[in-house]
Parts: sequence; structure tokens; C-alpha cells
Amino acid sequence: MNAPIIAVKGVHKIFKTRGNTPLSVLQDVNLSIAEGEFVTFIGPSGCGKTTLLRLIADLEEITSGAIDVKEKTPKQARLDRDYGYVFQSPVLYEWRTVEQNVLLPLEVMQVPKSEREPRAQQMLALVGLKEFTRHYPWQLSGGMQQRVSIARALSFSPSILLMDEPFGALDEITREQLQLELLNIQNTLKTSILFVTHSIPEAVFLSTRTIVMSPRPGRIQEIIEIDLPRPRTVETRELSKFFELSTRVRESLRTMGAH
Amino acid sequence: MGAQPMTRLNALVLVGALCVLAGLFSPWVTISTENSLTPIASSVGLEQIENASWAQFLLVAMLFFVLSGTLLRPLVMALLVILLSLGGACIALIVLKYARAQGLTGLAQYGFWLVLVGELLITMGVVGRLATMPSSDRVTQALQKYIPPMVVPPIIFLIWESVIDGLRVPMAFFPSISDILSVLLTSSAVLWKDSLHTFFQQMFFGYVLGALVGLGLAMMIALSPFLRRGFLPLATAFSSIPVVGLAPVLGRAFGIDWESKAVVAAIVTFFPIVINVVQGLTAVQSLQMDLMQSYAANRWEIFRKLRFPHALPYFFSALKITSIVSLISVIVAEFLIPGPPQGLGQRISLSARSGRYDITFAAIAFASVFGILFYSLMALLERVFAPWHSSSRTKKK
Amino acid sequence: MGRFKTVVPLVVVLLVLFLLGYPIAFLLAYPQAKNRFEDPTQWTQRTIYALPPVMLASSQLQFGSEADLQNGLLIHDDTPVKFGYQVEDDGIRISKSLSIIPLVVPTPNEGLKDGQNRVFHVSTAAPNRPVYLDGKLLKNSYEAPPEKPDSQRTVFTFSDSSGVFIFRGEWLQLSKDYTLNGDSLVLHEPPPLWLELRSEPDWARPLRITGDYAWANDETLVFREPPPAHSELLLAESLIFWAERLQGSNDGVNRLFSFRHGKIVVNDPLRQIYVNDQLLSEDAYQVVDFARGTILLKDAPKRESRVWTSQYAIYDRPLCGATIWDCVLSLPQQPMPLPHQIIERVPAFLTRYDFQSERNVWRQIFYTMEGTLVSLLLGTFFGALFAILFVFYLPLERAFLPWVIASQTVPIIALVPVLILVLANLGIPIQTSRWPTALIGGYLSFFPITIGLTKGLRSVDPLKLDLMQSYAATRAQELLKLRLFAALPYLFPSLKIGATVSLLGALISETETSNAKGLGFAIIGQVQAGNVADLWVLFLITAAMGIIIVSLLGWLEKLVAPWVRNL
Repeated sequence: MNAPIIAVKGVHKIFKTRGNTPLSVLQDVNLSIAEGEFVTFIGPSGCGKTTLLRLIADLEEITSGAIDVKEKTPKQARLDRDYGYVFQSPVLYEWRTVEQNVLLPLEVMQVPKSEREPRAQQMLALVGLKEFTRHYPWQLSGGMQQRVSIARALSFSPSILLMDEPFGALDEITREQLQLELLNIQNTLKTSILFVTHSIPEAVFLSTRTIVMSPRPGRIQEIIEIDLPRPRTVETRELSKFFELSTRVRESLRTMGAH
Repeated sequence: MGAQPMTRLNALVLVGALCVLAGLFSPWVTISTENSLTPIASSVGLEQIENASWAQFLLVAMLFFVLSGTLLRPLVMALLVILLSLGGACIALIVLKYARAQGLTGLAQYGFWLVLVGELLITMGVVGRLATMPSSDRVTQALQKYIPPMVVPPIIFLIWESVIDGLRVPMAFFPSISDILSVLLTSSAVLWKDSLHTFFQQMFFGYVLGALVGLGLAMMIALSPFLRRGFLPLATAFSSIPVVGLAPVLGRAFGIDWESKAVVAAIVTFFPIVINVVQGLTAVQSLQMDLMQSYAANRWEIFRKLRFPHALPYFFSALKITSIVSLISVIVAEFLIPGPPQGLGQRISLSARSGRYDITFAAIAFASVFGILFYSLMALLERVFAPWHSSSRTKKK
Repeated sequence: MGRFKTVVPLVVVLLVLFLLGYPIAFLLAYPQAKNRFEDPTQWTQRTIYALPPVMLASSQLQFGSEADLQNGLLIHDDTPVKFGYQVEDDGIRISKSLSIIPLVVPTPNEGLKDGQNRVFHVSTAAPNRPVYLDGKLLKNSYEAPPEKPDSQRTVFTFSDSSGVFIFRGEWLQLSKDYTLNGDSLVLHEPPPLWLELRSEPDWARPLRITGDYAWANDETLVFREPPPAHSELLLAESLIFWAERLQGSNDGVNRLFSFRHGKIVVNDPLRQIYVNDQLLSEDAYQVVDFARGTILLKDAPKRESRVWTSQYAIYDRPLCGATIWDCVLSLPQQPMPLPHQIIERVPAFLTRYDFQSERNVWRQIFYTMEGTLVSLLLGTFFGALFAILFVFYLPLERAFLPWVIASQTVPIIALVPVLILVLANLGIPIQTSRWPTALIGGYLSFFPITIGLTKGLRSVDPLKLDLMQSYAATRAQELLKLRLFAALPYLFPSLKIGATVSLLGALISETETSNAKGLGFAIIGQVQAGNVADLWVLFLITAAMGIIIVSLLGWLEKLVAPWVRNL
């Protein structure tokens, strides 16, 4: 059995606030993620899902406990550029063209110059934006911008992709389109993906496992295996299994208050 | 809280301490400037300055304290060290003055400079440490915010005074702090009279005039889209004009007395007020307008209940800016309009020309104080009349 | 159509502002004009003379409409005539029994009155006495040429070459004594050098008769038109005139008398006041009210004395015009020139000096512009340096930024004179060096640029920073790839402020150094020399410069940071 690509062990996260009592955002979180998985995190506001993602990405400090990313500390994983992060908003740099935005991580990581452009082109082709390389971000729609941000996150071929509600600001139609594209990408690149969402159908459609988290303090409430057939297609949404799993997730969310 | 002692020897503090040690046992002052050929031979160390041996003891004791440093809580330690090192620099300066009083009028030697620089390095090192250490409680955070800026003026004054005194810079070249202070003490009556003339008669009058006229015109412009399109590009253009260039013309038109300078102040105040108030009256969010219209309010009510209150923060913001600008403009106008020798601007110009820089700086100090007071007055008025004005917060990252 | 909509209001407002200049100029000029209009010492002066009779009839003298027959005295040889005449509506009737008025006496003799002769000689010199032709007073006037004789010159110009000319006591005859050349007289012989000591300098050169007659010398009269034959020519031998009598009671006690025309000229050396036949000396009386013309005599004149005047000067009317508005218009651009006067000055101003000269306006503009740009660059460089240092090392920012902000309240520009003199003391040649302007302007612009750029470097979207952190970027990479770009929208407004301040600093430093270059110097020069319209033109030039520099920065912003799409 392979070692998990990400192991979260007894992690607590406490935020110190001014003057008031400290806020416990995550409490005793334990989790193991295998390579190639697509794991979604779902839960109401304040359940710490974004914080967990940021802890794995070494964008926040763990209060106690440990996280192993590819058997390294999050900091080391960050320094080794093992993951790509996709934020809720595209966070494109307005002064760079689409292509230049995708090139950004390659420049920072000092990838050899001869490799940079081919990779960027490849990623943009993957997300279907090959004709827009010279455009500026404000000239693209929200969905297209988010695709650029995904291309950028993948441009340096990280083994892990961390995505924080990337499709939250988009309309339903675009969202479903992008979901399919994301799955295709994962199929091609075999990336492990951690995905935070608010949407139950999205969680069920995309993931191999859905982790339901509850708030105050944030912890894992339930882990639901999504054993829908792969590769997922448009028809997958119409399966009765899909409906069942969605209901399970919904139930889990609804009974949160009783615990 | 971390148990790191505050005075863990970072490089600056170490170097500083070494400097102080070295300086304590080196020559401090040459006997007189005439013996410039063999300065070292005719210079005098700390021990030889009468009554100054206590300084030696004190400084050595302070060094000990600084270098030990695990006894107290790091924060208190830091504050103490800052005070002590600044104090040490002061002591060095005092000793120098002692020496002067005893007839040692030559240049200060490297002993003095070593001690001075050493103490200041220690100060800077500790302040730097204080500012960057991770903080969790409010007291530490407040100190981190206020101590660094508060340290800057004493350091600047110490360096200024030491350079002027130590290098025997003549007053005609550049005044020392003590020169300026003595002027402030002796001639403050004259400077006060100048300030009244400049400030109350010229600046204030023009400022109020400009603000009132600007307010009136802004209301008219806001009500008429035609006027808005005509005026706004002009007004932004006007903000790039050196209005003070009009001063000579106004001096001809209104005479060389106070009226012309008041007009300068009025003009300088007028434009920013107009721009800001027009913006405040018109940049009302469309949703807020929709709300008013859903109440079927007429134009006057909309003005009174929505536009005018909305514009108040803009008005006060402009008042604050122009309070400073109009003061500066009046002073410069006094440079450019050769009038009766009254007023801070004239004082500055005249004293600079005759080499009395100490008076110049004293006058500038008066002007600054007035400026700050006036600005604060406007800020206070803003808090009274437009307390809802939100200031933007930038995250320090 | 949209273009039209934005341009028209602007043009209208500019036009209104332009036209506003007129009422403002008028308003400012009004007090001065009023002063000129009402202050008698700024009026023209007129001298009131005693009048000789204009018409002589056998027993009547007419003095013309100017004489105030009700309030005057008949004066004969400086003595008031007491009896023997009657004042009538149109003149004075002399009674035949008044023997002391021979009045007029024989004619200029030695001259033929044949209707052709115009030259008459008199036996006794009398160049001031009136001449009467058939009882009517004739006018004595001539025109003198501007040229002075120097024993070589023969050409003398007059306003009209067709006239009667006299010289050296004779009537000059065409082609015998002179020829004509246009409006100039060409004498056959050059007159001798004119010496200023001669008492009648005008007789040293040829004269043209403009009145009825003129004296060619003390004894020779030349008429412009020969008097008709059988006309009666009379030369008054004794002086008779009608003089103004001062009002006041002559009871032997009163000493206050007043002139008929008030507003007496304060300093009139030619004023003559008589009591009976005695001319009063200057210390025998004192003017107590110049506006009303009242005098106080030192000694009260005896009863029945007559106090009269033969000559005094009054302030007649305002010099500047008939009404206050005329006076306003007559003020030479003071205190404020009319807008069109300013515009008129522009072409003359721009081309006044040669391009080579330091005072040429274009050279001055370039000089000041250069100074501004250099100092702006200096300020930007140091501002950027400090801002980057602040971002990298937080304690520096914490310590110094509050002071940089607070120093905005200090009138730093007041230090300009000090800085210049300190630099001079340091040995920097102010005359030729650019350093003073550059340092001062740089110092002034440093502050807003540092503040703006620091704020910009820090105001980065936190998510963008997280992105960089997720790439494990170094601080230098973060600065170069993110912060600098994000700071640009904050930099440019500060640059614009810095540019305005640099321009001002350049101007002020030019006024203080004795460099004699640049627009600041031009402004000071004009202040002392004084064409107010020129000062306005200079101001408009500096205003244009400010606007141009700021606009250039705006275009630069669009070029360098096209993605900024707010405001």
C-alpha cells in the first residue's frame, strides 16, 4: 500500500483575535489522501475547509499536530513546488497577458527559458484557451479567467492541485462545463486534487471521496465514498446512484446541528 | 511567549557596544582649532576633561547592563536599553559641552564619535529587534507602532547637534539645535507677532473666503451638468498650476500689503474645495438615489438629505489639505511680493539673506506648529460634523 | 456629437472666465480712478488772467464773454479805476470825463496802410501790448520749428509751408530769402548759432505766423494778412484790463477774501494779488482753503480798498477724463490689465529677445523645464529607493514614514533660501550649476513620491501575495514581479503632485539665486520693471507648463500601465 500523498495528523488551528478569546478553527483533524484521488471538502461557513487547504499549502501555520505532504513538511513541499493553488477568484495579474500570467510561476521557479513557452502553450491548449494567449485578463469572461488560473496552476506540473471554490462565482452552465474539463485534465495529468466547494452536486460529481466538515470548531464529520463510475460524463448526473449519494451528503449536512 | 532575550546580541548592538568601549579610551577633543597640523597630539581624552570621569563610569556600567540582558522580561529590557543608549549618547554630548566650557575648543576627535555612533547603533539595533519580533498582545503591538517613530527625532537632534558642535560648524553656515532653541526662547514675541500677521490676517482670511466661495460655486456646479462638464477639466488642470506664480500679479493688483497674500490663500483654497465638494455632491451611489426617488423626494430634499451630508466628508478632507497648502502658499507669496517686513515668510527670507539661519529655522518651526494646529483643528471639526467618514485601512504585509 | 458636448461647456466656461476679467479689472481700478478723478492735485490747471478789452468802441470797452462784469474791476496800469465807468450788459461804458483812460494811442507808425503792406514798425518797444484792428483785439501767435540754428543748418520744418514767415525782424519772402521743400523752409543763408543766453530765443530762428500777427522783433509787427486800407490800427500804450475782484467785505477789519473760482493751485508762483495798486508779496497773505480759494491777509486792508487779482491758477478738470469711466479706462493696466491687453502682449513678449540672449522666453522655459524634470527624476529615484527599503525592512518604515507624512505640514519650501545659501557656502557655483534647483526640487518632490509609492507597494491584493508565496518566490521576485506593478496606480498620482511641487521649487529657487536664468528670474525681473500684462503672460506660461507636465505624466501612465482603468 502506497504512502498517502497527504497525511493530516491531529491538526489543530487556533486563531488569536484581539482581546477576545482565541478562536478554534480546526480541531483534531485527521485525514489521509492517496495519490490520484479527487477529494472534495464540503460544509457550512466557518467549518474550516479553506483553512485546512491553506494549512496544507503552508499559507498558514499549524498550531499543533502535523501535516505530511509527500512525506515532507508543508513548508518544504511549498519550497519544492509540489502543489498548485487555485483561489476563489482568478487572481490574475492585470498587467500580464494570458500567456504571461501562465508563465508567471515558471519565471519565479526559474524553469529553463526554453521550456517555459511550450509548457504554457500546452496548458492553455488543455483548458481550451489557445486563441487567447495575447489577451488581457479584463478582456475575458469570468469563466475564461478561472480557466487561465487553472492553466497557471498546472503549468509547472505539480503533483497536487489545491482548489478553493474555484467555480463559485460562475453560472451553472459554465460551471458544469468546467467541471468536465477539470476531470479530463485530471485524467490526462493524473494529478491529486483537493477541492473545496459549497455545492453538493459539484462535490458528488467530481470527487472520489467527499469529506463533510462541521463548524465551531471545525472538524471532520463524515467521509463519504463516491463510487460512481469513472470517467464521469454528463450522464453521470442522471444516475440514481448520483441522487442517492447527493442525498447522503445532504443528510449529513443537515444533521450537523445535533452533534 | 518566547523566551528569547531581547538583547540577544544582534550585529548592530555588538558593533555599537564595541564602538562605545573603544571610544571611552580614545582622545575626545582637540585643544583648539589652530593646532590643525597635529590634531592627535594636542587632543585630550575623557579622563583629562574635568568632572567628566563620572561619564566614564556611567557609560561602562550601562554597557554591562546592555550586554547582560537575561534578567528581565525582554520587552522591558528593550525599552530600558533604548533609553540607556540614547542617554549615553546624550551624556557624550554633555561631556563635549563641558569640554567646550573648559576651553577645549578644537574639533571633536574619534573618541567622541565612536561613543556617539556606538550608542546610536545600539539604539537602532534594539529598535529594529523590537519592531520585528512576533507580537501577540496589544501592549507590544502598540509599542511596536509608536517606539520607532519616537526614537527618530532624538537621534536626529543628537546627530545634528553633535555634527555642528563637534566639527565646529559656524552658525553662519548652519545653525545648531541650541542656536535655534535660544532664538525661540528670546525672540518668540517677534515670531509670534509675525505668525499672527501671516496666519490670522493673511492666511485665515483668504482661506475662509476661498472655502466659502468654493462651496457656493461647487453647489452651483453640482446642480448643472453643463457647468460640470465645463468646469471639471479646468479644475483638474488648475491643480497642476503653481498658483503662487500669480503672487507678483496680485501684488500689483491689490497692493503689497496683506490683501494680496490673502487673495493667494483664497485662490489656493478655492480649487481643491470646488473639486472635492462637487465630487462629494455628485458621486452619490445610484442605489441611494433610487431610494430617494422611490420616496418621491423633490430636488431640494434630495439635496438636503442625501447630497449635502454625502459631501461633508469630502468638504472636510479638502479643508484639511488646503489648510496646509494655503499656509505654505502665503509664506511663499511673502517671498515673492516684496512688502512690509512683517510675517513669517518675510522673516524667513530676510533672515536667510543675512545669514541668521537660526532665526530662519525658528520661524519655520513656528510655521510648522501653526500648520499642525490648524490641520488638527480641521480634523477635529471633521470628527464633529462628519464622523462617519471611513478611512481606508491598509493591511501591513 | 459626444466630443461636441464635452468641448462646448469648456469653451463657454473659459469664455466666461475671460470676460470676467473685465469687471474685475474695472472693480480694482475704480478706487484709483476715483482718486484721480476727485483729487484736485491730479487735474489740469488753468490760469485765470485779467482780460484786456476785445473791442474798443468810442466810449465802450467790451471784454468778451469770459469777463465777469458784475464782480470785477477796471484796472489801468495796475491801479483800479475808481470812478468814471459804468457796467452795462455787454461792456463797460467809460464816461468821457475820465481822463485817466486815454486807453489807446497812436498807431504803429512808419507803415503804410494801403491794404498791401503787412509790416509795421512802432516807435517804442511794446511786444506785449494788445493790438486792435477797428476796435477788435487781434491774436498774436506763431509757430517755431523744432530745429535750432547752429550756423550750418538751413532747413527748418513747420506744420504748413504755406504761410507768412518772419525772421530777424523781417518778413521773409519766398525765393528771395528762402525756398520751400515740402513742409520745410530752406533759407539761403544759415542762421548763426543760437546761444541759449539770449532772452528771446525764438527770434533766433524763423517763425511762422499762426495768429493774426506776430512781433518780428521788439519794434516790428508783421501781420499775416495786410490790414485793409483805411482800417483803424490801435496799439494800446497803457495796459487796461478787467480783473477779478476778490470777494470779502472791505470794512477795514476783515482780512478774509476769496477767489471766484475755487480749487486754487497749491504752489503757484505766478499768483498775483493786489490791494489797490500794491502787489502783495508772498508772505503778506496766506491761503487758508485751497478748495474754496479763501485767503487771509496779514494786514486788514483799509476801508474801501479794492482787493483784486491779475493772475492765478486753478485746478480745472481731471486730467484723466471727463467722467470716472474715462479715468478708469485711462489707467495704464494698473492695477489689473484688461484681458485683451494681456492677449495683445503675448506675441511681443514671445519675440522680445533674441534667441541667443539669456532673457529669451523660450530659453527660460527650457531652463525651468529642465530643472523641473531633473529634480523630479532625483526625487523619484530617492523616493523609490526609500519606498523599497521601507517594504523590505519594516522597522525603517515604522520609524520614518510617520515623519515623512508629518513633514508635509512643514513649509519645506520655506527652506529654499536657506538651502541655496548653504549650497553657496559649500562652494557650489550657484551661477552656473544646476545643482541648487535639482536638489531643492528633488527634496520637495521626494516626500509625496515616497508616501505614495510606499502605500502602493504595500497595497497589494493579499491573494496575489499568497500566490507568490505558493510559488516560494523570494522577496526580490515578489518585489519585481508583483509589488512594483501593483504600485504603479499609486505612483502616478504622486508623480503628478511631485511634478507640480518640483516646478514650484524650480521657480522659487530661480528667484533666489542670482543666476539670471529661467522663468523665476523673469518673474522677479518683471516685478521690478513693471509691465503687469507681462507678468500675466509669464504666469500663463508657468501655468501651461504645469498642465503640460502633468498631462505628459498622464500619457506616460496610459503607456506604462494601460491596465489601470479607474477614475
